[in-house]
Amino acid sequence: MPVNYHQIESRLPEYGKRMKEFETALMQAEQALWEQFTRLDEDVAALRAKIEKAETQLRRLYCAKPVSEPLLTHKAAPLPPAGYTLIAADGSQIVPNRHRPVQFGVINVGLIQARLGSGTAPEVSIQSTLLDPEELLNPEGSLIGEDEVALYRDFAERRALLEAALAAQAPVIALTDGLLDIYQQYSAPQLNFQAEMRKIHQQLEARGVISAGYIDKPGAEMLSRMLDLLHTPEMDLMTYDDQKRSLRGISDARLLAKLLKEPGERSAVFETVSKGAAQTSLKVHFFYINISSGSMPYLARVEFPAWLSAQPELVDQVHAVIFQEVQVLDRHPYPYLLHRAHELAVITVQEHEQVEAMLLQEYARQGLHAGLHSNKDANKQLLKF
Amino acid sequence: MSEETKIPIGKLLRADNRQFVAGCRVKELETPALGALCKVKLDDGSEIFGLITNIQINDDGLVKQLVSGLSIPSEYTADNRYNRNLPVEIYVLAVGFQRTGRLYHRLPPRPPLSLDALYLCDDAELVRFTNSGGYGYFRHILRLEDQPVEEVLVAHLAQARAANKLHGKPDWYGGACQELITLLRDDYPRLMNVLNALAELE
Amino acid sequence: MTDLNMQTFEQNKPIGYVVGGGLENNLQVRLTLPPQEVQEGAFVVIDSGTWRFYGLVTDLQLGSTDPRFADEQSELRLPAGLAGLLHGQTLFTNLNVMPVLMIDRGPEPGSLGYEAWRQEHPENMAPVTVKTVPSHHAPVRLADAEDIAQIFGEEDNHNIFCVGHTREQGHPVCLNLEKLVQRSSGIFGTTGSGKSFLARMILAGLIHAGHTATLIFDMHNEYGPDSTSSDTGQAVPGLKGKFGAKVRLVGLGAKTSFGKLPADFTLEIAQSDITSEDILLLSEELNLNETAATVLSALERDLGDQWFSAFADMRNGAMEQNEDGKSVPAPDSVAFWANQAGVNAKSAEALRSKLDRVMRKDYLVRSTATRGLQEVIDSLENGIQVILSFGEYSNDLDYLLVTNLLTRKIRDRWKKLTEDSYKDKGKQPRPLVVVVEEAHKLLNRGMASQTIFSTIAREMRKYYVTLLIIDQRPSQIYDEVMSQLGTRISGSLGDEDDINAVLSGLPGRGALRGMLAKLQPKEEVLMLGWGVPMPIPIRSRRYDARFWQQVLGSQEQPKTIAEINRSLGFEADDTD
Repeated sequence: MPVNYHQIESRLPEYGKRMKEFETALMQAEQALWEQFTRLDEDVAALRAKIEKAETQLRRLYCAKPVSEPLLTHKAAPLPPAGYTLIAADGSQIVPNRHRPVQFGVINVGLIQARLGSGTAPEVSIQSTLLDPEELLNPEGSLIGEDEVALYRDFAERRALLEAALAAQAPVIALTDGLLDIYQQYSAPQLNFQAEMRKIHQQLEARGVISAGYIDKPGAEMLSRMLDLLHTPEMDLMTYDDQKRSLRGISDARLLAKLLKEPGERSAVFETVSKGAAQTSLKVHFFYINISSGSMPYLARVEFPAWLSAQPELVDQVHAVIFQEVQVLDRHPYPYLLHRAHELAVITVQEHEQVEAMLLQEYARQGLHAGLHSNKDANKQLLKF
Repeated sequence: MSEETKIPIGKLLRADNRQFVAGCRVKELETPALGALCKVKLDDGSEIFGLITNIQINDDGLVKQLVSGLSIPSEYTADNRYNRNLPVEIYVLAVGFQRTGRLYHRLPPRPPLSLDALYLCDDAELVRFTNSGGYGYFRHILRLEDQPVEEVLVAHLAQARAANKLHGKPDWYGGACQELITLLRDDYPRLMNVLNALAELE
Repeated sequence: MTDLNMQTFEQNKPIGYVVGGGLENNLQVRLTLPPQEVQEGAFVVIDSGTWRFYGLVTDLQLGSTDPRFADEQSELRLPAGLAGLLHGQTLFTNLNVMPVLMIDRGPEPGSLGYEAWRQEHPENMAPVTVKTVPSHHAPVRLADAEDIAQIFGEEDNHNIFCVGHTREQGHPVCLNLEKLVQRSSGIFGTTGSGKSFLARMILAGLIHAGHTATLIFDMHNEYGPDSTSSDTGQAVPGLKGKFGAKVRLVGLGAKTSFGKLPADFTLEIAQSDITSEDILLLSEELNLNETAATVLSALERDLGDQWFSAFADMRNGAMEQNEDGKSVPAPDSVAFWANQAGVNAKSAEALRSKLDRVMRKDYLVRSTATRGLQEVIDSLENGIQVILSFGEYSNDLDYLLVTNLLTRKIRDRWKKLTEDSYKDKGKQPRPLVVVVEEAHKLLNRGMASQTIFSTIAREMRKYYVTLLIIDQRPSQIYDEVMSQLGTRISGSLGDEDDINAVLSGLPGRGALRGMLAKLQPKEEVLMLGWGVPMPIPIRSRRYDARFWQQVLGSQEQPKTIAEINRSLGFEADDTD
């Protein structure tokens, strides 16, 4: 109901001032980090060694680790191969909602596969699956939520990609939106996400399929953490606590914007060090790329399995393909096929309601009792206008 | 009859006894033509016949970006043509209905309440509809307010004329012109607009 | 059938349908043909229900459902097919139809109501004046020969006489001569409009039918002898030539002949035929004053039948010396008689000098060699047509005097005959038509008080005497006379007053005014009035050899008495 604009307005001047102060501090931090970064162009192996040492000593560590290229690498985008298959998958979901008459979950994966260089239109498909009734409740017996369903979704995306990739003509690049790997924090009743994901990645690797994750507007500060760690004396490594970083709030993208000034340039390849809370089986490498075609750099992060780095030409392929792909949408550069996959996956409100209606019909057929809308939900409907 | 051209309807935006607007996603090639005869099937087995009076292709953001992009792979232009469904709003004017095998040129007794698809009528069905009892359904077209009446009429007449000629009824068009003149006799500007537009068909 | 430049219509095909109008302002008919295919004056038939209506097209009006359709030439912008369809629905012609007659046709034979209706109406119905209107959308068609015969009668070369043909399809249109002569009638038209030919045709018809006598006052020697048409230069047969003994040419005075033809009879008028009434009628012409009446009655009283001769013998101002040496009126003077009769001498003398003009007329004689006026009356009574030529005697006094004398005698005679017939039912007098050419000379307002013609026009039809006026200035004719005219047949008239005069006394004929004004000179006339069932414009029949052949058949023309005499060996005699 009506916002009390007056209250907010009265705070604005003070707020603005605080923001200014905040930003000034950030600028200073950024400058400091940059100086750190640029002065750190040393032997990559030595840098790696230090970080690995910390890895062994610390229980929890999250930062970037250089792989082999010099830190200040900035490489122009090569040309993509004449012909290649690019597959993109995206998913959307319906999360069970206890306020609705029936509780159910739907995973909708949109997949689009294009053979660049062939001239033919891409193939599209949509796979919609209902979560099993058993999957709807978590081990505690309560209804699963957004995060859990997201896991099912991510998994479904990758499985779809795998299926398509296995049948496709090489070279194949399989693209998803977001982190390459699933960070499982949930034990699904029937599915061991981690194990399954490992299998998928193994198969992909076996076939030489390049899988990549595309992160638009990345906010990670992995490089900042890395720099902080690297500037910590070795003796203090054991008690390193990244919570106490002084230079914070500067994303990698912000930092590297000063480095990747030309359109299409990528940074050096780094490895994601992720030890602790989120267990993952996959070793993930990444680089940042300036996807802007103009004078203002716009950085995205591209993740891929570590095995790619062993073949620099494959890294080049990923680099080239991604840069080519983002230029298709010139106003807001983003990989075209990923956008399309997303478009295919979207579930509209009508579709949601239609599925619900179908379920209700089935309930009735089976003689089951469906609940009514909860009062809260019913009242929320009224607010829609 | 061969597989009917079917346009799935996403949502029914508004409907009354005279017109309805369906939000659909159609492939560019399947976008129906202005003035085309189409029908919707109702639950009770009856069918409502309508004329397409307007097609509004809503902005799709993506298409806009593609259009201004410098180099688009031909695969992606093909993608848009064959794969992507454009969000369109199709305006349909009811011109008759069919029930238990009989065709009427009156307004349907009930508007469509929920639809799943719009079927585009082929030539044979167009001929059948236009020959089921005079040209009375013109009056529905002439009552249109917010669509260009003349254009819809002429588009429909052009299609109906061609179809009727093919199916051995070359006199249909003359009768239609006669009827139009009778109906629009008191509306000089409108009549002359229609006739001038029809003149181009010759 | 004359050869008209017309397309032939399919009989009975409708030309339009009724869309509105009424009795007072005429019917509106939507024409379903191009306007050029119908003309003003067309005789149309409308069937509605069991009634059949007969009417005249009095106007054609172009109309459109919206004036813009008429203003803009869409045929230039649209293809022919579309333009045609458009015009067919938006541009139209309306006819104004004046309904005149209607007839109850009854239900279709064989239909339900037919028997009952037939019982009620054993005879076929006759047309009556229109009193109702046809329904909307009643079909309208041009009249065919049958329709015209239904209304005007079918030509029988006797009483039903063809005077012309319809303009659009050339169907014959007839006059019922018996009905025509029951009232006075008029034939009008500008000079050269063919009215005298028309008159001759009608007279020929009358003569041929044989039941009517005619007295023709022929001022210009047009009727009797053959003449030459001033326009075509062709010979125009005369009535005498064609009807021989049935026609008597009478010349006023001995010197009068009929061009090449001699008069059959010379008319001399006995002075004893003149009454004081006759003189009084001429008061204006003779410039008599109030005293004249007194003197005249004294003369008649005193001198009896021969008063006129006696008065003529008297001399004005004759004086003589008496015993005393005084100048006294001579015994043969007017003054002498006046004193003796007890009237004012000066008045008498004045009268005498004014009557001098009359007395000096050649044709007024003391005693006639023949029976004079009576001869004429007798001929008429016996059904012989008399054509009276005035010869040189062409001033107003002559016309007035002679026509008055004659018509007075006719009046007296026919009155008596009629009264006799009341007692003896069988013997009705033969109808007589007095034909007056240049009627405006005798029948204008000024003269009206001096002639008995208005009397004839007003009263004499009860006594079987009517007028047939032929004139080019009907507006000059005394309106009392005009209003008595039943049938009027008019050719084209240029003057609006003349047109109004022809239409005067006829109800609601404004629509006909336009038609009158647009008649084709010499070819077309409009017939209307009492003797005609409904007004109708026609193309007049041509008065030529063919006409005579049709009327008289292929028989030889009857010989003149002279020819008969000649063939019998007798010498031709000029005068009978």
